[in-house]
Amino acid sequence: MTRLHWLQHALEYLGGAQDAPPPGFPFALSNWFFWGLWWAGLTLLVYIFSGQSSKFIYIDF
Amino acid sequence: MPLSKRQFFASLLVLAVCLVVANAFVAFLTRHSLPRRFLSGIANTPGAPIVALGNSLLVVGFDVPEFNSLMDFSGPGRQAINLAMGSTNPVEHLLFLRYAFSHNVRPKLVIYGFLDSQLTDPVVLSNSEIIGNHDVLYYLDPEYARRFYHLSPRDSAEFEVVRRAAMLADRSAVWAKVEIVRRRLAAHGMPPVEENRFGRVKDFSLLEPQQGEYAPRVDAAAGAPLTPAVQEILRQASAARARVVFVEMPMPSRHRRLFYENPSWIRYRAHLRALAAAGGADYINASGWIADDSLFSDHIHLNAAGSVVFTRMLAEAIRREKLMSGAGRSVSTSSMEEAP
Repeated sequence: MTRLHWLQHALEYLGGAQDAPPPGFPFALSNWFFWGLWWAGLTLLVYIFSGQSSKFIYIDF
Repeated sequence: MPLSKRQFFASLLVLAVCLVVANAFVAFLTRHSLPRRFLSGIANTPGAPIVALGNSLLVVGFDVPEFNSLMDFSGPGRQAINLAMGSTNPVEHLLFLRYAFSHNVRPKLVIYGFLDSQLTDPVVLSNSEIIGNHDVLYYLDPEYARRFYHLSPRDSAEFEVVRRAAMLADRSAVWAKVEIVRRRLAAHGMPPVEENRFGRVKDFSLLEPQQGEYAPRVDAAAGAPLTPAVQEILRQASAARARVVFVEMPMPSRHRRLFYENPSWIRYRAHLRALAAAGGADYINASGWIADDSLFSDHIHLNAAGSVVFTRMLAEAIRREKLMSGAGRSVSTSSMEEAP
C-alpha cells in the first residue's frame, strides 16, 4: 500500500466510509484527545478556506 | 468503540483549547496588520498642517513628498500626511480623522478625495463585508462607529461576537494569504494577468456602477444629504478649526464619458457643491485634470506619474484659492470646478 493509498484509507476510515483502519493507524476511535485535535483541524481548514466566497478585490492593501 | 459522554466533552474541550490557541496565534500574526501600523503611524505623528483623507484613489493619487516639497513644508509636525486607506468608506475615514485629532494632529486643511456618489451613499454593511481594511470597524471605537452605518439585527448580533475574537475579526488577513496562493496556482500555465499594487486590474471595473442603474442612482442621490459620517467629519473638522475641501478625484476618459458627463452627474455635482458650501467646506472638481489615460493604472487609479501631476495641480489649486487660510469658510468658486 502506497503512502497516498494509506492516507486515503485513513481519511475514509475517519469519515466513516471504511469500517477498518489501515494497517498501522495509530489512534483508536475511543481516543478523545485525537478526536479533539481532528475536529480542531477540520474547523481550522474550514476557517482558512472560507474566504473563497468573498468578493475579494484588494489583496495588497 | 464509540466515545462515552465524558470522552465526548473531553474532546470538545481539546477542540476549544485548540481554537483559543489559534485565536492567539492570529492575534499575534496580525498585530502589525496594515490598519494597525497605519494607526500607530498616526499616533506617532508630531502634527500636520494638511491631512489627506479618502480611499485608494488618494493612497496612490496623493504624492506626499511631492506635495510637501511644493508647499515648502518641512520639519517635524510641519508636513502633510496621508490618512487615506484602500477599500474604505466614509465611516472609516471619520474614524481615522477622529483618531488623528485625538493624537494631537491639528491640521488647518483636510483634503477629502472621493469616488462617485460616496459622499451621499448611506453606508449599509453586512458582517461578511467587514473584511480587509474594513476590519478597523471591529477594533477602532466600534461602538462609536456603529452610529454611522447600518447592520441588520442579525448582523449586529454577529458583529458583537466577531469583534471579540481576533480569529474572526482579522479573518481576511488569513484569507488574503490563501487567495494569493490560489491565484498563483490558477495562473500556472495561463497568460499573465495585469496587476497593480491593489490586485488584478480588471477587478476594478467591478467598482464602477452598471450603466443602466447609474442614472437613477445618481438622480436619487441628487436629493440626498451627506451621509452621516461625512456630516460628522465636517462637524469635527469645524470644531478643530480645520477647513475641509472635497476633491472629485481624477478619472480616466472612459469613466468621465460614461458617468461624469451624464446630465444626472452634473445635477448631482451641483447638489454636492451646495451641500459642501452649506457645511462650510470647499469643493474641487479634479475629475478632468488628468486628460492623458496613460497616467492611470486601471479603471480608476492614477499611476505614479499621474499622482505627481495630480499632486502638483492640487497644490497649485490650494495655493491659488488660499485654502490654508480661513478655516471653515466656504469659497467654492467656478475656477475650482475646472482644470487649471
